[in-house]
Amino acid sequence: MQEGWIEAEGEGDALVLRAGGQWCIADAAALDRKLGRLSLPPSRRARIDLAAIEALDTAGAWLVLRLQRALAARGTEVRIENLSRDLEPLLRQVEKRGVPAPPPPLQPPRSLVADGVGSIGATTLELLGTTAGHLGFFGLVVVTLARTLVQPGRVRIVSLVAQMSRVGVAALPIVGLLSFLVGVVMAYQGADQLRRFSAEILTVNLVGLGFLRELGVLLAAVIIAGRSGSAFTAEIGAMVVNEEIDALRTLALDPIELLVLPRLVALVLTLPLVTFYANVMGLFGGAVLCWLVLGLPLPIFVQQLHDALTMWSFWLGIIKAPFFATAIALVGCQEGLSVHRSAESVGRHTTRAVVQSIFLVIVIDAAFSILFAALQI
Amino acid sequence: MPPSPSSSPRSKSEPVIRLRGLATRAGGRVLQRNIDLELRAGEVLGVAGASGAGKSMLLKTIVGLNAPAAGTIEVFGQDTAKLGAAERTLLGTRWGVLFQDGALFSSLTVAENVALPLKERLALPTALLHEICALKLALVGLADDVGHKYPGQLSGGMRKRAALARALALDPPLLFLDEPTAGLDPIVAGELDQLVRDLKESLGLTVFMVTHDVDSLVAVADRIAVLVDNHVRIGTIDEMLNDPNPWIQAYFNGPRGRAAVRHRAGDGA
Repeated sequence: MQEGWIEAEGEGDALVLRAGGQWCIADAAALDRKLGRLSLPPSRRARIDLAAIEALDTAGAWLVLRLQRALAARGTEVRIENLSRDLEPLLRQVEKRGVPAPPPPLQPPRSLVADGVGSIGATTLELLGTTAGHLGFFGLVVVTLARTLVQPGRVRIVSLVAQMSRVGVAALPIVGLLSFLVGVVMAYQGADQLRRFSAEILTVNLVGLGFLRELGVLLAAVIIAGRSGSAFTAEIGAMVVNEEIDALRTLALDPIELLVLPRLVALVLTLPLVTFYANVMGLFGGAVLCWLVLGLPLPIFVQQLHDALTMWSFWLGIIKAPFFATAIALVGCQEGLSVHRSAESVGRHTTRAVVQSIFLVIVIDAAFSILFAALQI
Repeated sequence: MPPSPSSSPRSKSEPVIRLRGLATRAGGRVLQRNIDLELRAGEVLGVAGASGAGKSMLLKTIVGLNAPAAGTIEVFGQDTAKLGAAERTLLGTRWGVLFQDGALFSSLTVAENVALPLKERLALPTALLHEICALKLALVGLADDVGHKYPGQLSGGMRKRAALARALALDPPLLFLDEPTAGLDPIVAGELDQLVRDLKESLGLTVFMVTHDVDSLVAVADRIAVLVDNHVRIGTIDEMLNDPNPWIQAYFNGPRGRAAVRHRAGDGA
């Protein structure tokens, strides 16, 4: 088939436009250019002769009609003629459905300063809204939790245990491996520095205190936020997209009680346990390095650890875990419930959940440091 | 306007789709065996069958989303199993698929949904692109302000129309419809049937329509393929009414089927 063409010529006081070839979407861009280059002297009457058109689709029909309208807008009287009979219905259909000029995309005039101020304002409002949302959601969950505690029969044991297995047991390999490696790295760096003071033995104190008080719980919390906080958002978000949350509500089931509480309680119960495991693996990593690099046998490592630590060193780390867990679970579930009905929204809220929960974990950790310093422990 | 599909000016001797000995499989279970079916140019073939008989799976197998267990699929005279990557892409621009729930991209507006295949396949100037999108939306009967909305903001009927506009974006000669009227109220479903009929007549489309809606079959389909007992029976509505198969009898001569057929007879008179 021949590619689409159009030519114009004058015939007395009338303008004659002859079109032919293939007027289909594949040639639309080329035809659009040809039409743009066409010189159309003003005239009273015009004929668009389509006799030579071999193939036509809606895009081609639109180009013909657009030409007709452009001429008509200049006050020219236009006739379309000689279109083959089998292509006629298509042109009529496109003409009948009428193509309105597409509305211009909404774009208000822009100014750099106004935009900057505007975006600061919008971000502030969003931040305030997020904070209010977190607080409101926290209150809602506390109320629901209180109601459930009054009626312990409503605690969903199966769901709780399943969640504990998913967030806790399934996370053990990665938490263990990373804690072990961080323990090794910390001991190695510490030993390197402390050797200058002939105080290699204090490496044990460094690893012990560092892990028990800060690193163990932080590592566990950050890994769980990335692993399970994101999973909470994605699961609940997909349920929102699929209208499953609405379905729960219509069945007079409370999504907070059914979905949020098991996840929250599971995380609050398991994160301290995971933290304990992270501590053990971190200390083990430190011990292995001390043995290999410093030649410190395990019994001496344990003895030194025993002298360096008190029971408090252990509890001060573990005590933070339930708070971190609460933040991770609440943010994850709330972001999940805030998803709108689109795939992109699930992704955006999942990202936000992870970023916000890690941020909150660090903020809460800092608050605890200040508190412990004030209490001088 | 062509009075009947056989005299449609676009009809050629070569069928648009030809299935030979096709067997479809889903999750290890064979749904149909030995399907022989031809879709002629310019006709609407309605595909009916019980829920779970594999109507949608047949559609997915033809468009290449599911590998056939046996047999050959020819579309536009080409065996789809033997196509290279480039030919396969080209074939993808020559058919449009309307999925059951629309499958509009939820993070794009309706206009962007329609524009996506145009942008990816063709280098159109922006103004013309917008015009063609607006034209497609107008063709399926959507107001132009719908273009700025997101799929989540649309009603079921509007979503189907928007998805149809996207399926028609590249002006494909072949259209696959998967349950176009499912989940719509009878008025909107009737309008959609009329729209498919209209577009088929004016754009000269060939349509492969999977449906469980007797009204749709009667109103739109030129021929009907019924998937029953793992194979396929093809014929016009009148032939179906006289088919002895108990499922086909229950389907077309049940209360709903009879009402639909009576309605058509009333229209014709």
